Amino acid sequence: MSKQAKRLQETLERLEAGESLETSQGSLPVEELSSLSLASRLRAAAWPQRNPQTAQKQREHITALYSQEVEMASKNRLRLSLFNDWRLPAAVSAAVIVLLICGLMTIIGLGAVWVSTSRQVSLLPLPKMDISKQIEKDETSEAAVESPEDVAEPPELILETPESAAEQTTTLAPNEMLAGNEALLTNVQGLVEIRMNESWQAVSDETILTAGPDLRTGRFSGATLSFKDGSLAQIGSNSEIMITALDVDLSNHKRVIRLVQLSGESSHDVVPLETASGSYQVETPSAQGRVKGTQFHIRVLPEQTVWVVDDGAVEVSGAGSTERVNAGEMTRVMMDEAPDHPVDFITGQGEITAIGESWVIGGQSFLTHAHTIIIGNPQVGDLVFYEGHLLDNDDPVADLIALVRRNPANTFTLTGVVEIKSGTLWTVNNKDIIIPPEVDKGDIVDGDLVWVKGIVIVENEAAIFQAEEVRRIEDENATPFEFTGVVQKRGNESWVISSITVMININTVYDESLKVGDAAQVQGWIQKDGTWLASSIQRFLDQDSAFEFFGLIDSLGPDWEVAGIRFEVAEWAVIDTGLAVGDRVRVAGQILPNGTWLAHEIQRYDEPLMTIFVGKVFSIDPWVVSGLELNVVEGETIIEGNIDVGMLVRVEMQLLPDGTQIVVRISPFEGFNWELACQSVVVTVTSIDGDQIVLEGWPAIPLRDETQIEGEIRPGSLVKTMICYDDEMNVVLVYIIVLENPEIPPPDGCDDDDCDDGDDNRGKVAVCHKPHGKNPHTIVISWSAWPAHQAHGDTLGPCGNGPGK
Amino acid sequence: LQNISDAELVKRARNRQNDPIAGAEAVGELYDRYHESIFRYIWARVSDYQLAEDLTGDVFTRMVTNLPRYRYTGTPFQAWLYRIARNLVIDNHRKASTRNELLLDPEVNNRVDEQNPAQIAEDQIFIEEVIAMLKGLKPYKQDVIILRFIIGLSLKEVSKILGKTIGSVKVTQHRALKELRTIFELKTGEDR
Repeated sequence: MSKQAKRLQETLERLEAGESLETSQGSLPVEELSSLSLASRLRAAAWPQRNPQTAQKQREHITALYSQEVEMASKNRLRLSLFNDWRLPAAVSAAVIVLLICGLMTIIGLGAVWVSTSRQVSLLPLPKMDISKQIEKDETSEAAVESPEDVAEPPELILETPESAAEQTTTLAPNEMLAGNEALLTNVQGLVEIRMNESWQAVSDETILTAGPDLRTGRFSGATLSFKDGSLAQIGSNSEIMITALDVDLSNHKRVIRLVQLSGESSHDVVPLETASGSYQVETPSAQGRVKGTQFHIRVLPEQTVWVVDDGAVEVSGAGSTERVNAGEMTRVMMDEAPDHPVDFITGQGEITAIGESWVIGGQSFLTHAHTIIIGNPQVGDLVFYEGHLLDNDDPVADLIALVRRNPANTFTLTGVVEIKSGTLWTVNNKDIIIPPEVDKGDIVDGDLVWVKGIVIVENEAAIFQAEEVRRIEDENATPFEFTGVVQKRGNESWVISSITVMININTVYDESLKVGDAAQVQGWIQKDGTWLASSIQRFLDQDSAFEFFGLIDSLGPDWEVAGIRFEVAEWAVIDTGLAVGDRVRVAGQILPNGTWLAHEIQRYDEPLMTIFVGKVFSIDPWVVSGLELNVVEGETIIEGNIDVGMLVRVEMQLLPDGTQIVVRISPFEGFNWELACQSVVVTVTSIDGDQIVLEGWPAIPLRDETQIEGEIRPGSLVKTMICYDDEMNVVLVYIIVLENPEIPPPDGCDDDDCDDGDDNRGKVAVCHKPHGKNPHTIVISWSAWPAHQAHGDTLGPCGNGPGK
Repeated sequence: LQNISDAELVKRARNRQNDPIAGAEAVGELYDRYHESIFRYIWARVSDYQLAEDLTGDVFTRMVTNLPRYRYTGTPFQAWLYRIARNLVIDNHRKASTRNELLLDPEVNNRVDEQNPAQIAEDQIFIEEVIAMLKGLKPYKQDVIILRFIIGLSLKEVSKILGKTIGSVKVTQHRALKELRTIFELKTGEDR
C-alpha cells in the first residue's frame, strides 16, 4: 500500500466517523486534499432516488414470484439434480477419490461385520409394466411392511449412520412405474455393481432393486436410485450403499425407505409428504440422522460422516446427542461422538493469490488447519475448488482445497508439419520447439502433421517454446485419443472402459493384470468408421483422471458430441470461437467421479499452420506477449476487447508462405479472471541490483521508494509480494516480505563432523537448477538435497548471479 | 424483521418449503434493505433512470429465482446482490450501444432539500459531470468510486463485492479518485 493511499483512507475514515472535512483533512498533502474534497462531495451529493410507486410494485412482484417459486418447487421436485453442485467442481473428484479409497479400505472391513448377512437380493430387469397390476402389487407390499410406528409418525426421511439421523415432511411426486417396494437404478455411469451371494455383478441402467442388495460404484462411476414417492438418492464414486427397507404406500401417505451407506458420497432429494407416516432412513458406519430438509449430502469418511444441508433442515444425532443442521450448514460426526455444533458451510472456486497458513482464493483469505485436505498441489495462480466452514467470528476456514485447473499463463498449443532438427529440437510452423527428453514422441517422423502443447519460457526477455506433450494428429484415416477410466468389461475383441467400447487387436499392448473395476489409461486411434481402436491399455495409479481425443463435431453445445462421445463442458472451459458441426477438434478434460466426461478445452485443429498460445501482455506498442514480440498488422490482426498490459490473452498466429508468422487474433483469455488491479504472490527472487528486482517468471521490476520491504532480500529469497499496476500500467511492487532466505553456503574445508550432524539442520540454500542441462532456474532446496542436485549438474547460488552462474 | 441479520433472512427465504409465509416476508425485507442502493449503483453505471429501475427489478427477480442455489461462500449476501447487478450491467453494455446521454427521471423529484434551489442546481450539474466522467475510468475503478462514495459502503464491503483484498480496493480508490479529480480539473477547470 502506498503511503498516500493509506493516508487518504485514514482521513476518509475520520470523515466517515463524522468529522468535518476541514477537521479530518489534518496534515494531508495538498494533492490529496483535492481527492478528499471530491470524495466528500460525492458522498454528500443528492443522488437520485427511486420512484416509490415503481419500487412498491416491484416489491409486490418479487414476493408474488417467491410464492410461485415455492409452489413450483413442490411440483417440480423430481427435476432437481442433486449432483449439480458436485459436477461443477471437477477437481473435487480427486479429493473424493483420495478420501474414499482410504475410507473404503477401513469401512469395507467394518461393514462386512456390521451389515447383516441375511440380505435378500432382488435384481430385476425393468419390465414393460401393467400399471394397474403394479398398483395392486404396490399395495400388497405396503401392507406387509407397515408397522404401528410408521403409522403413528409423520412422513419423514431418516438417514441413519451409527451416529446420526434425519427427518422431513413434504409433498409427493410419485413414480407410477414403480411398486412401493421397488427402487429404480438410473444414470448408471462407469462401473456399478450389486452383490449377489458373495460375488459382485455389474448392473445396467434401468435396473429395478428391492430391499437387500448391496450396491457399489467404482472409480469414475455413479448412479441414481429413485423411489416410488419420487425421492432420489444419487450415489457418487467409490461408494457402497444398500437398501435395507423399502415400502412406499402413496394411497395411505406412508413411506418407509431405509438405506445404509458404508462409504463414499450420496446426495439426497427427498420428496416431502403432506400428511403421511413412515420414514426415509440411511445409516452409515459413523452416524445416524433425521432429515428435516429436502436436499442434503452425506460423505462417509474414515471414522466420521459429514452432513451438508442444502435445503430445509436435518436433525443429526450421535452418541445420544442431536444437532439441528439448517440449510447452508454442515456438521461432522466422529465415530462414537456427538455431532459437532453445526457451522455455516462454504464452498466455491477461485484463483489462488497466496499460499501459506492462510490462503487467498478468489481474493478472499482462508485459514487452514492441520486437517485441511489439499489435492493436486495447487500453486499461486491456479484455479481451485474449496469447501470449508465459518468460524464464530465469520472468518472462513478451508477444509478442502482441490486443484481445478492450472494457471494457463504461458502455455501454447500449435499444429503443423514437423521438421525434426534433432532429438531435442523440432521446428513446427517455422518455430523452434524444445523437446525435452521426457516427452514421449511416439513414432512421429519428419513431415508428420503434429499437435504440440507446452509452455512458453521467458528468458532474457525472449520467449522459448518448450513442449510438454506432442502427438501425431493424423494417421492415414485415424485420429488419436487418450483417456483414463474404469474397466467395466474385458473381452477378446473389445473392452468397455468408462462406457466407451474400445477395440483391441494383435497390436494392442495391455496390462494382463487389469480386471473389472481397475482404473486404466487408454491410448489409441479413432478409426474412419468411428470405432475406437486401442494401441495401449495400462494400469492407472494416479488419482486424477483425464481424457483427450480428436474428432469431428457431431453436435454443438449444450449437448456436445464429438467422435461419437457425448460430454459436458465446464463453465470455464476454453472453446474456440466459430466452431460448427463437422469441424475437426481436439477435446480434453476430466472424467468426474460419477463417470461424467467434462471437457475443459475444445479446440479446432484443422488449420495446421496455426499457433495458439496464452500469455501475459508485457507491452502493447510494440506487442509483446510473454516475451514474444508479435507481428501485429493493422487491418489484418483482430484485437478483441480492451487489452492492457498485464492481462492474460490468447494469441492466434498464422504461418505465412514466406515463413513469417502473422497474428490473426488477440483476445482476452476468458474464463480465467486475471485481475488487473493487484495480486499477492509468493515467488523466488532471481536477482536484485539496488534499484530493480527480478522475480522468477516476471520481467525486471523497478524498486520504488514507496515499496515497503520487510527483511533482507537476496537472490534466492522466497518472498511474498503485492504486485499492482500503476496508472500507466507499469508493474509496481507495493510490498515485499521476505519469507525465507537461502543460507550462505558452508565454508570450504568444513569437515563432515562440523557440517553434517545427521540431523541436517542447516536450513536451505538457493541453487541454479539445470534440468537436463536446459532452462536453468533458481530454486531453494534443503541442504540435505544438495548432493543429489550437485550430482546432476546444479550449481550453488542463484542462476545469473553468484557462484551458480 | 429490521433487526434480523441478512444471513437469517436468507435462511428463512431458503427454508421456503417449511414456512413459505416467513420466507416471503424475508424476501420483502431483503428487498427493502437493498433496492435503493442497488438502483443507485445501476443508475451510476448505465446513466439511464428508467433502465436502472428495470434492471433493479431484474436483480431482485434473479435473487428470488436463484435463492435455492445460493450458497454462502464467505461472501455476504449484499455482495451477492451487487454481483448480480454488475453482471446485469455488463450484459446490458454488451447488448446496447454505449449511452452517452445522462437520462434522469423527468417525473420524479426526489430531492429532500427543497429549500435551496441553488444548491439543487449545483448538485445536479455535479452529478451529471461525475457520471459522465466516470465513464472515462476503467469499470473496476468505476465500481470502487460508486460503491465507496456514491453508495457509501465500507472498504470491507466493497472488497467482498468486488472479490478483492481491502488493500487492493484502498489502492484503487486512491488512484480512481486521483484520476477523476484530474479529469474534473481538465474539463471544468475547477479545483475540487
